Amino acid sequence: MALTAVDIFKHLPKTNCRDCGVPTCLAFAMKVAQKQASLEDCPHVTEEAKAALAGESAPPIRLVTVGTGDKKLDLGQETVLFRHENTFLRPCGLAVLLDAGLDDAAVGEKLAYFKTLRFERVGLQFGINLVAVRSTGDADRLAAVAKRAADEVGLPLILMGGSASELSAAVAAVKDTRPLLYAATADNLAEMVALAKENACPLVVKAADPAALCELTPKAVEGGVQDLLLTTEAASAGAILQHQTAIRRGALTKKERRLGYPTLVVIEEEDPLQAATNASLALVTARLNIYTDPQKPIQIEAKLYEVGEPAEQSPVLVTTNFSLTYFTVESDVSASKVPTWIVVVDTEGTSVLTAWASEKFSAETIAAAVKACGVEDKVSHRKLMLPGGVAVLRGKVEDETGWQVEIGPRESSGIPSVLRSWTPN
Amino acid sequence: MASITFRPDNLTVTANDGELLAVVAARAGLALRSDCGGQGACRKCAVRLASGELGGKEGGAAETRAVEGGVEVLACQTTIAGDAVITIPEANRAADLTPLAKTLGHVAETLAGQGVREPLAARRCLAIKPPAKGDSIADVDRIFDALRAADPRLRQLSADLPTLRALPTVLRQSDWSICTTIVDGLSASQLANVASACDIDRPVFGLAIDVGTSTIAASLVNLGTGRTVATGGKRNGQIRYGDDVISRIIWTEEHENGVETMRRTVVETLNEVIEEARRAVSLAPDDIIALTVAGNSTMMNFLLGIPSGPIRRDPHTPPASWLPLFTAGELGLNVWSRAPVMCLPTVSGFVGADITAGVLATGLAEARELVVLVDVGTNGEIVVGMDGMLVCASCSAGPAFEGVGIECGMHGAPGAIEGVAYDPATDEVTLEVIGHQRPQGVCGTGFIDILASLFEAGVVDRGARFSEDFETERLRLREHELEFVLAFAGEHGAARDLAISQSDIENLIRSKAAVHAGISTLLCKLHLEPEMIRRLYLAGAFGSHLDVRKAVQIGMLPDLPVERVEYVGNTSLAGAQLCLVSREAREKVRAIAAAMTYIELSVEPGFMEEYVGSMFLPHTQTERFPSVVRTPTV
Amino acid sequence: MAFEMPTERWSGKLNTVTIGATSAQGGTRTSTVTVGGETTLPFLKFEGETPNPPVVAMEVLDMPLTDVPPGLAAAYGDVVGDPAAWAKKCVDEYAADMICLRFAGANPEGADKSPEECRAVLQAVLQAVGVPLVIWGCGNFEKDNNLIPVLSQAAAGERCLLGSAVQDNYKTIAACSLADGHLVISEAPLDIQIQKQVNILLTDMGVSSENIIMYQTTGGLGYGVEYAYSIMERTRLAALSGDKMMSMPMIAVVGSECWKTKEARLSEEVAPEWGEAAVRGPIWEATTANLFLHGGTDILVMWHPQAVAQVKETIAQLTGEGA
Repeated sequence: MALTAVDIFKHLPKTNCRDCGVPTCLAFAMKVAQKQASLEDCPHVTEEAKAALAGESAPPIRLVTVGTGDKKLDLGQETVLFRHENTFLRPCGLAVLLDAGLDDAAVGEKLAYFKTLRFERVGLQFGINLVAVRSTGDADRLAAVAKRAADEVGLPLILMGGSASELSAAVAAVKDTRPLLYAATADNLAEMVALAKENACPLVVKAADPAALCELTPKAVEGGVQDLLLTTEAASAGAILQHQTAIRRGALTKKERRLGYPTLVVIEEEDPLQAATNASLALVTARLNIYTDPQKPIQIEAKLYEVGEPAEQSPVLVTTNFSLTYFTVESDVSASKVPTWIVVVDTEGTSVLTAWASEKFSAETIAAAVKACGVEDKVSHRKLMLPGGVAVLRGKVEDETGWQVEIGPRESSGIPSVLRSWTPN
Repeated sequence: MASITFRPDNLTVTANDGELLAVVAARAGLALRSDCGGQGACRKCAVRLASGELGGKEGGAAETRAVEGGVEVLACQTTIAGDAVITIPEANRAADLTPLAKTLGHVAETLAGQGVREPLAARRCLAIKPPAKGDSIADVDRIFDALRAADPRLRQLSADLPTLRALPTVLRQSDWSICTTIVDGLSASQLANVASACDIDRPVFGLAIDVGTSTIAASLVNLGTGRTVATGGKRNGQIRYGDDVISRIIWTEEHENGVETMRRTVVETLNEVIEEARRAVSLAPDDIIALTVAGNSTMMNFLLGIPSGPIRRDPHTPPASWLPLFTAGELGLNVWSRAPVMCLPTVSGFVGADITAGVLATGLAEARELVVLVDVGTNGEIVVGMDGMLVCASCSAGPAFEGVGIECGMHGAPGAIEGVAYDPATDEVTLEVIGHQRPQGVCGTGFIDILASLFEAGVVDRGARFSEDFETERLRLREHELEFVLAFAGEHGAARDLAISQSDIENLIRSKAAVHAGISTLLCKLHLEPEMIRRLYLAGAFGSHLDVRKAVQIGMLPDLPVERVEYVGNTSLAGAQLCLVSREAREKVRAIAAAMTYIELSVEPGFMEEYVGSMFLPHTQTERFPSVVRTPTV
Repeated sequence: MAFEMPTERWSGKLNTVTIGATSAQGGTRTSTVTVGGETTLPFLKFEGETPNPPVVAMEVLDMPLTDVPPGLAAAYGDVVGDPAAWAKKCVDEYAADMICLRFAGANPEGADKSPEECRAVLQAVLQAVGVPLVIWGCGNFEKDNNLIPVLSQAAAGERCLLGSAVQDNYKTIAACSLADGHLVISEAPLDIQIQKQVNILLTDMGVSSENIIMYQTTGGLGYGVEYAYSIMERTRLAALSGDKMMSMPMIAVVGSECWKTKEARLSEEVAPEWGEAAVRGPIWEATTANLFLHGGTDILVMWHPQAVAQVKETIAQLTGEGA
């Protein structure tokens, strides 16, 4: 398991000299433990300390890169089994499969279609990451289709075949794009390893199960290829789950270096064109969700919310975008049975008092939120209610917004009675 | 000039037209409550106009409200407009404060056993060998030689300019029999004064000061014997600009000369405290020759007139944490003008000199085993120490346990309910009141007792919510929420109903949850378990009769054997006092400040969740509190 | 050195809970549903048991939906006007394991149906189908505190799952559960501590921990599911580590949340890059449900029959013999 700050602290000089730029040795140890600093940043750490800590800090799962340029895919280096233990680091890649045996027109159609599998989520672009081109035995055909894929789609490639001879032409054709070679098995290991090594390509190693993988990966490493991906012959959902769990647990909890590599799973299902789009959208979204960093506080979108069906003469409350705060307020507003507008200010997920103290919830930010959320078009009155804890902001908010500001209760539980007696005049 | 009379005290003061009524009352020593910092929002400063005229804060007439028996105004929104008679309702008086300068238990023992090693300043009378033919050593060096002969512990000596100027004359006029004042500086000693030899019996004193957000407390110490001869306490005058640190910082930023006004205000209060302490033992200002000051980071900066804006903004950096010695004169403090003032060091924007002082006083830094210090003041700071590791945090507990923001809350002063027991069988509430007076409100320890009592009796469920169907007349609906009446008007001599509402309870629960979550999170950070805590020191202005068992019962403190927890009173003051009398203490407190690692809880993953979990009685993870057993009411 | 499959040994397990009562048990259900009893993380058959596969409850509202997305309308046609017919279709045609009957019409801000009207609907549904029922109020505390007791009594003996108990309003539903022999849904707002708190408050009132099902409110895919997912994983881990106050099976409301999203609703004219709407909605719902299955949820409340079919197949794949 990972080194703790306390473990690291024991090996530091404990002089709090600040040469590393951090106020205390313990604070530095905490940063090193969280991989926000490296041990080398301390100019005074001894060789013994470095040796003692070195063995512990090599990443249990190797970093493997497929592809080059800005579309390259980095995989691996995960450190936890569950996202809530810290976070997952490298979103998995999604690859679409193309059979090299299709005719040129069909290939062209597929490639064009693959290009459409990109979607905007939260203001950024996400989509499939790789194109896997599978050989039917004809090495030149594979090379031609692979080249087209590289040129027309521009994503990293996976070249799939059963032997080095099947793949070598294709590899030569696209080797500058650093394709992933699939796959080395017990039968073809030596030649596949040689092919990968010669062309500086990452290599998939395939075996019946994790135990069998442990026999093969050391040989690949000995042969000079360390950038490996692992896959097994598991076909059913349950078996896949078992093997993937075994590999991840092995690498992280059993320190099994022979399994310390990212993994790959091939799933073949019937896939009419349209369903793939839907499935891609759903998968891309799910991936985006699962790989978000759980350490960030739960926030909701900063905008205008409606509780019940508020109208022009309904009250307007202001609060922060920290989930807990918002849901508490919303629940009390609901309980009041008074339809109400709630203006949520982006305070980066901090609560009312915390946000106020650090100026995220200030007259300026409140005024900006009121302007931006469009509440001015929804209500005919100009009365705003602030949480009691920021009563001191009243004057400034009135100045900044031109609205009349009322002070609500300090406690959310006081909201119902205040709302019930609220009038727009 | 107008003449303002306050009833029922029958105190009359003069005031200028346009002055804020709240300020005039404070000047008269009749400070009013203010939870909203003068915004007119909390109505705690409401007073009656018995006769005369008042004006409005923004000009024009005063805003009045008709109440039974007269006209009510808010003192923070009303100004003087001629003579007037004002009646101050009991409920709205800011409590007179018992000097909150007490230390207890282990810390008190440390102080008592300390004695005087190297005081921050000392006076020594000497006979100096006059110069003669063949011996023309400089005047100053003669004095230094004599001093070193008398006290080998003195370090590198120097003399300041005023002393040098006075030296030659004083030496000859006193016939080479002089009285020196030596300051034990940060790394060297300084000859700070020379005068004719004085009465050797005349003692000199030092003042240790805790500049709290709400109260300023001080101990006057005889620098010869180390004995505390007087203590004093006063409400911090800055309260009129806001009852918490952040509001005050904002006030300084929004008002012209805000920083200077804030500085002057605290200096005024400090001088009142100094005067009170002096008069208690009939001292002249010049008899106090050394000061040590501890307080939270913002308070320290306010005192020095340093702008504190950066403290409230990300990443909350204090402008200065290590400070040189100042003189009382340059800070405007009414003691000997060249008295050295040591401002103890701070750690971060939210962990200040009061905490480094507390760590010094409790001996946390030397702890081989796990020791925790919790200072439940306005902000709630926690220090966890073990084996050379010191981590600290501010858990933003809020001042609920100091009575602020709670309807019937008050400081631990005479009239404060400090102990409560409710017997559901008889429906009776037993009260212990400080000073055995008529109960006026409830202080920190009283609130802890109330929560424990209500929980045990089943009046509140584990979520600290009142059970509507609990059979008692004490539980009633007022302004849409339930409240529990501790004493009806007339019961136990109470002048009005004293009740605790659901909102009040929620406020207290949040406070205790913040403290517990802060402790848990810091321990977690160091991969330590609560069971490993050998000692937990609790400091702050609760009131002295803290029932540790009840603090555990409500989940404010981890479930530790009672004997491992000690309430130690004002550790900020104790640490400042140690620095008055010991060089080692002065050096140690600086090392402590350098070694403390500050953890920002608001960005610490897991703190928020721990906080929510701590909002239960005693905790959501009941297995963490095996000693708290409560049969559920079905 | 040969590699050994790393297996975990857990000290705790999930409660086994049965919903529904047959005539032999005092009710009128023709089938019951048993969930829970897992002894390891979701679907890791190599190291533990999943003695009771997760189940799907289909949601029936006591009044027709306004603004039905086309993808959904096609599946239900006009039975949405008749809760009993709607429930019957879900069971007979779409193989729902349970029916989740939600009394949205009782909301005072909406149709404000009386408890008596609601009772009539409940009785009709009890007649129409033999599967166990989840009975869910309208979410308005005051109304539900009048409504739930009426419904609870009308279904006494049927061992229904009543929804829901929250921190601020749990006593009435707890009392109903004790009086009429029902189970309780313990609800929390995406907060693992509050979940445990509600469980404790319920058990303090005498509700057996084995009569509780846990529920975390959550949005659909793309709208914060990861928070729910991690809470589910952590909840399962707590149960496996022996925390009896977290050992209850979980329920997730997937259908109504997913069908609020624009991804499920928008037509392909408006969002051509998103593919065909008729398929997109069900995929959105199924993906959400699958996520929650892997998080450890045992009961999924769903809407679209295609999504239901897909999810049931996934469950079979993960828990069946071939797994």
